[in-house]
Amino acid sequence: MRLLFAEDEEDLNRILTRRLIEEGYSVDACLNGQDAWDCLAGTDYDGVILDVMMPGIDGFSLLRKMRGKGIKTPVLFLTARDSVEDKVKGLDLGAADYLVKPFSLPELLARVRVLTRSKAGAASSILTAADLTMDTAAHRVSRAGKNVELSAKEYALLEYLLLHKNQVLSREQIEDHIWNYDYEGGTNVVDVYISYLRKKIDEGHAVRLIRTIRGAGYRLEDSL
Amino acid sequence: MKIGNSIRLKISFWSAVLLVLAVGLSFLAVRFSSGLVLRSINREYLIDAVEKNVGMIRFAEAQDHREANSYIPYKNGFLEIDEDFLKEMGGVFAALYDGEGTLLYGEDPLARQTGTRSFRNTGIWYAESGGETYILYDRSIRQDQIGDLWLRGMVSETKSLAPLASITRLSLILLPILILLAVLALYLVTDRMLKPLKDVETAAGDIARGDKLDRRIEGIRTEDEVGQLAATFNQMMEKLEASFEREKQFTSDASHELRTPTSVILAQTEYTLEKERSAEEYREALEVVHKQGERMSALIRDMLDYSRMDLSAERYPLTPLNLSELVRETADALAPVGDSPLQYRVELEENVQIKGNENLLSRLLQNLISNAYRYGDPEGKIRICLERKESGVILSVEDDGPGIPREEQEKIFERFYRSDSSRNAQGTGLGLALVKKIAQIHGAEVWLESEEDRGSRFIILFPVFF
Repeated sequence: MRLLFAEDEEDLNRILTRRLIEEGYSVDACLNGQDAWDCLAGTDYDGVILDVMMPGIDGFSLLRKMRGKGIKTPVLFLTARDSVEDKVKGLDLGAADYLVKPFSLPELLARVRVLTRSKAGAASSILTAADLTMDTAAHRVSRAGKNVELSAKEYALLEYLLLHKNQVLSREQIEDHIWNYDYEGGTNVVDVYISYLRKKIDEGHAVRLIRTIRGAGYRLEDSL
Repeated sequence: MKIGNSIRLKISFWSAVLLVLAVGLSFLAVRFSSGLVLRSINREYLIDAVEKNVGMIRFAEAQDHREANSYIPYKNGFLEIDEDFLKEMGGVFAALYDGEGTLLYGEDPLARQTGTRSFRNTGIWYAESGGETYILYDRSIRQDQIGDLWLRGMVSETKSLAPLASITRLSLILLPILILLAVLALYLVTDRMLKPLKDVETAAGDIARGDKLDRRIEGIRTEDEVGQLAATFNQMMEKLEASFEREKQFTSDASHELRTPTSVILAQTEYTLEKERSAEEYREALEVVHKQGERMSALIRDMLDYSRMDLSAERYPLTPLNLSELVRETADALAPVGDSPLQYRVELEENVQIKGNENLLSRLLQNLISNAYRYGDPEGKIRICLERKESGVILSVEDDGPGIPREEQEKIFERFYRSDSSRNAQGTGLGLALVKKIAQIHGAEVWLESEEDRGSRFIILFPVFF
């Protein structure tokens, strides 16, 4: 899951970015609206968290620009502006959610989960494929009732696959959504993490859920 | 509704009372004086008629049949009564008697009824008969051959005053009706006149019940007291709304400004407490909390100061002071420490005296100088200048920072306004608003000369009359 986070308060920006990364998201953090716009122009994000009052381009204008350009990524406003007028304006501009500062971290994380789910069309925090279950709220993954321990990146990768189960995902698609701009690893990073994931998910099970589609990418199967 | 509670009823009630009094008194006065006048006219008329008739009586030796006069045998001849003798005219009767009281000529309705024959030679006298009052006038006639004749004139006062009595009766019926109609009309008219007052009451009530401070009294364009009341009321609401709006804006600004540091502290502490962190992370968390705490503290201090100055400027008395000394002390205290590359120049004219508040002026200068530090070039210059000019005393603080674009120059004095370039700086957003407020308290003007990339110069002009 790749997020864009724009917030001009440096401390808040740093701490939330860190927390979102711990949660398994890959995050591009910006301190002003212009940088955020530049990021949006080049990447297909799974969710965007925007402050409203920012130097450069304010959050409302940024959302207007996004929708104008046909970027449909769900947006959550995180702002100190608490008036009903502002909330209505934000939501009418096409924001999926509006959270007023100060907020609590668990609430923000829950709302971000809803945000990213909504883009993939899932309706609950429990994602499943065959006998594989992921509870995105509790951050727990199990296969056939047995708990599976995953690293943050493995978790993010699996979540992405689950949200797009039965679809073929190219290596580039996966890389774009799981790794942010800061990552400059080798091109086979997706293959490496897929193999980690296979070891933890598919080993010891009769049916392999993660399939390699030659020349195209990977697919998570929903049937045993 | 009790009379005490409605102006309309009060007005109607008291005007009714006054009308009754006025009409009643004037009725009595007219009634009384017209009675007097009628009586005196009666008397004059009576005397006049009798005196005229006296001239109509003559003694004649023999009857002259050619004339249409009446002849009454009297002693050795006749009493010749001229045909112009008026027996009765306009209610006045005339009767001629001889000395024994025998009616010789004319009519005497009173004598017919009562048989009174006694004559009084005392002018006017009165007699009652048959429920009527008569005015009588007896005149004795003595001429050559006439010895003891009496000419009596009389008029019924009761009859002559009868029209007055009927007018009185009519008035007693008509006047109350007229008064009633007048009061009724007044009651209706006051309703119209007091309607604006009712509007004022309704508007005030609306405001009292809800908080619709934008409510105004409309449609009253009269110049009378009610129109003035409505205008004053509207002015008052204008002021109230403005100050309420200011207050509301301030509260909203304040909560908004406090939201950001609060959310940083909450996010930082929640994050750090979620699980066991490294010593380095704890340290960093505390530093963030401390920094945001300081920011909130400065914000609270500035907001309180600002609202105090905004609400009650009179609590800051202005006394004569030496501005040169005050500027020197404040500027020295804020001078750069160590071997800073910053050029810090203080140019003062000595002994500049103004009336001012020491604490506020020192605060004003501190804010301007810290602003210069914050936005100026750390290796550039800060120039603080105090001089007397024709127009007044000028205090200015100049930096060579990035300057402020023309379109933002007015706005930077608004509270919590931050230009894009200053958004990340650690100000409270109230520094320049406080500068402006303090200048206002001193009757001083404040403005800014700035060019982009060439720095800014903040100028305070204290008027000369200080």
